[in-house]
Amino acid sequence: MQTIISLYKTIITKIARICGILGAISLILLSLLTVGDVLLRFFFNSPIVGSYELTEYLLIPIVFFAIPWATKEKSNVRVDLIVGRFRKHRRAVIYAISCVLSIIVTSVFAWFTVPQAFYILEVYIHSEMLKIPAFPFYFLTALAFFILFFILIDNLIDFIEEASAK
Amino acid sequence: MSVELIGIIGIFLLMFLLFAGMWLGFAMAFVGFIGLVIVMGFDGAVTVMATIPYTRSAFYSISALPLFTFMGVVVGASGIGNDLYDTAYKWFGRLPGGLAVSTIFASGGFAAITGSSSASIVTLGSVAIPEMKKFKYKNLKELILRIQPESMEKQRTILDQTLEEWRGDVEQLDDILVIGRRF
Repeated sequence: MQTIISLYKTIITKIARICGILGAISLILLSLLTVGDVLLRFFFNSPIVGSYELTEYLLIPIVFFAIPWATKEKSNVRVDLIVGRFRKHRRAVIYAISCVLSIIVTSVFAWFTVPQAFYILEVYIHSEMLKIPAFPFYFLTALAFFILFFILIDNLIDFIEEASAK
Repeated sequence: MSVELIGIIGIFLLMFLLFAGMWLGFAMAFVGFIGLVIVMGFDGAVTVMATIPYTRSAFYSISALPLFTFMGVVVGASGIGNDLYDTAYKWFGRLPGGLAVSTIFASGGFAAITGSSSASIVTLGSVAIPEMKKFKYKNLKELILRIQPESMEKQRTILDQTLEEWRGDVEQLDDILVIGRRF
């Protein structure tokens, strides 16, 4: 059992790391796009065509790859004003309960964004200027929620281990 | 149940979950989902849940947020944030609550450079929070004076326990060496 858990944790850590890297690359691309757009508009009066749409599309990998990575790192924002004063194992119990609630809401997101992605593929929604289809980004959203679901399970294992440790 | 009452209960539930230490985003999503299920029914709620994450993220206006945060990280890594904080601490560090006063002035300086509150939080937070987390000599001195009648072994245990409890699950920032000598 312990071997399966440690294998699961290793795989999840690697996936989360890939998510983090992809999110960071998207963020760098977004900053380059913005700087390029501003410079070209300012100096040559010819901004990058469709930069508005590209920015919106780039936000999807930034947001949805960053969330699993931040969750794996347990770096999401939380208020520890009260819970932070509790003893370690009691705090872990509370965190485990809140993790279960997070898993519930994430599973709803994961489960219902998939049919939405297929619907977008079917009606073939695309951007106005560059005609970039939106469905890959909807699928990416769904994929990110599935990854997030498994990362939250990993977090839950951590909290349970912490709560049960003497 | 009226929609207003559901909203009020939702706010209280959100406050409860936040103070219970639930991650902010998940707490808001959870309360939002429960509220939607009550108001619109399960089918209506999942329809909204399936579209909201995409439409609220692929939104041009929020593109400034990750970019400003990124800028904050870059400026912080370059050392400008540290210099600002050091300057403010040299000026105002001796005042009562000097650490907080210095942080406010350093934030003012940083805001004047970037004009972004999110960038200021990222940069100054990474500099000021470790400072605020430190136990400081005053607390350690008070603790040692308080426990001096105890045996050396007991003093060691109390010191260990106090530091561990005070630190919680936050990482240790620096080495700690305490040497005891009984006369």
